[in-house]
Amino acid sequence: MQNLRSKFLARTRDEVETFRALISQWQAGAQGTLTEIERLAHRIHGTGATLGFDEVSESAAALERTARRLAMSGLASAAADAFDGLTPRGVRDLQLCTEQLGREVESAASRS
Amino acid sequence: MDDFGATTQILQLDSSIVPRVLLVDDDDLVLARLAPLVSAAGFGVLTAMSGEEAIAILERDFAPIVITDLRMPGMDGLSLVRALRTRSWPGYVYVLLLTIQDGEQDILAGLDAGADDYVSKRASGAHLLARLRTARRVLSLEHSLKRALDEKRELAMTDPLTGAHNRRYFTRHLARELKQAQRSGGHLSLLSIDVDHFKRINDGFGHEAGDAVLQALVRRMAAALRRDTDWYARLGGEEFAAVLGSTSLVGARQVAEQVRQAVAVTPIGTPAGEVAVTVSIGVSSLEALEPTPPPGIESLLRQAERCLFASKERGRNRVTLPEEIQACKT
Repeated sequence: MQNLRSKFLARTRDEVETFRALISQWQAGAQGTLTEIERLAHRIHGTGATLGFDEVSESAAALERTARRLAMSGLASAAADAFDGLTPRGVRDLQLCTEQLGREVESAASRS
Repeated sequence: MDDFGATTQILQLDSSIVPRVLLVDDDDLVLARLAPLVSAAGFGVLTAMSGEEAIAILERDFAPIVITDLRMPGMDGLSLVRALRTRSWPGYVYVLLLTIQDGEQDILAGLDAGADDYVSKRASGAHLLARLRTARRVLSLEHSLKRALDEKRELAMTDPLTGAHNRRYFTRHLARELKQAQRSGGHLSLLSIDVDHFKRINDGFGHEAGDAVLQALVRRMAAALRRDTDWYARLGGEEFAAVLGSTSLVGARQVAEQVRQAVAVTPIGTPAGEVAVTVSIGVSSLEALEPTPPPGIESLLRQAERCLFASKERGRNRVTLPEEIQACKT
């Protein structure tokens, strides 16, 4: 169990990097990235709960919901949501969730 | 006594069954967490990473309990549950959803699709095991109902006095065996056996003695038959039949003669004293019947009964073959 928990934290730490990359791609106009973010976040949400990482699971759930909401709102890419000089709001929401998830992973790692 | 033996055997088989659980989740970390937990609780464990894989595993290696995630690439949990419910399996499949999607809509959709229960991924290991015990209770109820049904079926096919199969069993199984012999071109013979002057035994020694005679007769007949190919039934009153699988007319005559001698060799002990008993036997065989149109069990039975009648006419305590009387040929 201890071994599984550290495997999960290591994998999720890598996935936080993946989220950052996917968000940049979405901002740059790539298609299909929201679906991938939502799928990965959902897995962390479920497996985190199974392994007893409640905070990690909850912050992944927030990222999952945000990605789903953006995908449902019909924005093909962040470009449609962009306005001059500021970071598009959808991108900012995804980034906030991702950074929160990153902090929860580090905090869980330091506790175990 | 036979009934008691059969029941004990079933109970022993039952206790040796380790209920198997199939875990389905697309994340190997979830499987790695659940497999030891479930296995430590005394269940056998199989794992699959998608709905398709789960179906393939169950077809090869049945498990009566399935714990599945909802969201998986390819065939998801809901489609898996629907697929499980539309196919036929060796027994009931108890499906437990284990998901983080535990909103009311998700739970209702899962139960509507045919799942039996659900547990949140947030639930503890102890909680999951408690739900598994519920599954085991439901399945053991199913087992005991099935066993009771099997026993009832067996009883409906058994003669209570002698423990021999009854006419219903005889008709059903002889038809099956005849078809099989006709398909494979193999031999099949039938003995029609009747106790001589049974009415005199009943009248002279009483019905209890008559019953004891029938019971002893079945024991002697069973001992004279061959275990792997032959079986017998009580068709009514003092009338019995023995079906001799893969046996030609020559072989059938030999077996019939052994049965006749086994009955006649010594008197049968009854509550009313020793009773000398003999049987008359008529033999029929697939090879002694007209091959076209393919004969049914009635032809086989009719031929044996005519030969039995001839044995009675010729003085009883004897065996008659179709070739010994022209009239037997039908």
